[in-house]
Amino acid sequence: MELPPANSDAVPTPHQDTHGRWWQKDFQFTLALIPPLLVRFYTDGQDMALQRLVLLVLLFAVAYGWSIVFTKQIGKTPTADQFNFAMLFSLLLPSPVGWGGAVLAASFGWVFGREIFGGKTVLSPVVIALAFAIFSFPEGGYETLWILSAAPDHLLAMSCLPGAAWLLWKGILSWRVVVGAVAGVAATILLMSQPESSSWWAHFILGTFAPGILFMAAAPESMPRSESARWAYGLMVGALIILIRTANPDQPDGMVFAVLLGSLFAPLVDRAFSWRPKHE
Amino acid sequence: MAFDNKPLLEPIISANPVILHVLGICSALAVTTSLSTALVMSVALIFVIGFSNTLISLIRHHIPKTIRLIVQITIIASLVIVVDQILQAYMFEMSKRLSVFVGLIVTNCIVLGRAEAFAMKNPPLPSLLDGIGNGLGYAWILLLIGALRELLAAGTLMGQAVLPLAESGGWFTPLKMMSLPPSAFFLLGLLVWAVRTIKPDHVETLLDADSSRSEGDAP
Repeated sequence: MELPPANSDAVPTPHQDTHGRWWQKDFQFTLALIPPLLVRFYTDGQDMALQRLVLLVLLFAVAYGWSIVFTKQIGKTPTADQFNFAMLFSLLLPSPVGWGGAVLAASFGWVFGREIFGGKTVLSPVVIALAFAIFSFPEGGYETLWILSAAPDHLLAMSCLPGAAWLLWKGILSWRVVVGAVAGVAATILLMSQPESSSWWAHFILGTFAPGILFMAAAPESMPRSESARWAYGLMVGALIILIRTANPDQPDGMVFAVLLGSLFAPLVDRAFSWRPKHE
Repeated sequence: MAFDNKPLLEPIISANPVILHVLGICSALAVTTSLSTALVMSVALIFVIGFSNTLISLIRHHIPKTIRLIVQITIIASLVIVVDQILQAYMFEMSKRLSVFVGLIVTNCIVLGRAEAFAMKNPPLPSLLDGIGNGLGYAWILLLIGALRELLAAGTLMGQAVLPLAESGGWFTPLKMMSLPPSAFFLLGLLVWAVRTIKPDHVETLLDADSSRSEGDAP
């Protein structure tokens, strides 16, 4: 079956160009990631901010190192993609994880999400790495770096807005996914009819919702290719977030698993939306 | 007559049932949470496949073609019941930990596959060797994955502490993910990758994949 014709912002298949237009796009994401990361540094306090900075550099080295190991090119220039990975992982790491654990999770995510398939695939490495960290260290490691409880975080959510606006202006942001996810969250809360959660809008500033939707769910490799499928995908991710948050008290955040499930379904959603009855 | 050890040695690596034919994956994922369960499961499977191959080979000329699968399954199931009863009688705790997976040896594609592909066409002794060889091929993978998973998930081997845990002042933080079934998939994938890097002839071409799909109707 033919996939829909490539849109201006359609995702190239793996092995297609990974530099040029892609590099520029990745760099726009880097710019958009700067404000939330600065906010994190600001709210961390001095010691934690330093640790987070070290972690950022460490993770970038991990991603860059693995790409050298796999391509066997010593003088390879690091890419914005690798830097985005490090930034996003150190921004979203949800539970206290030791240095070794963080490096292991990042290696796992980067190798399984990027290198063994030789390019961009269905799942983004950050999602894989975070899922690995959450599964492996459910109650935290021995060196507590920080704890991100799923508390309302106005500042973090607000700090994502400039990046969102920037990506939207550049025409990179898939606003359909974002609107779909917001609608999915709202619709699921209404369907589950929980009157006590009258502050339903709080879900949008809870935990890592804003950066998660912007940089994980709406990341080019996570979402379906066709525009109409992106609506369905956004709705699905939004609904999953609320389902996970309400049904599983161990996962008050739920972003990572919602995006993980959603992007696993992305190719199927794509096919469903490009399906036409055969006339024979 | 020269002793032919090919049926015994070949399935261990170059025609390994798990990493080349990708059979028996279900139990390989389920019982590898610790080394001891993997060990007992391996022994049980070697016993069943060795005897079933021999018995089926002994009566291969008398089995009517049309009901051969039923006869094979009957023999395999009887052997599995024997193993299951022995485990329940002498290793009750282990039998509980293995739960249904000993019983599921009946449906293990390796056992039925070897009965159908080898024992039906060969004399008893090579069939026995083939059964044991395939059992060993299955066993070393189970043992390797079981050892890795137990070591990384709990820092122990056969229940004995090997790595000093962080909780008691050591350096090792257990990876909880390794106790979950997906990690067996990742380890198995890495193992297949490693073996295929060393032995490139394992990499199937499109033609191989098509032909094996039409042959392989085992569950």
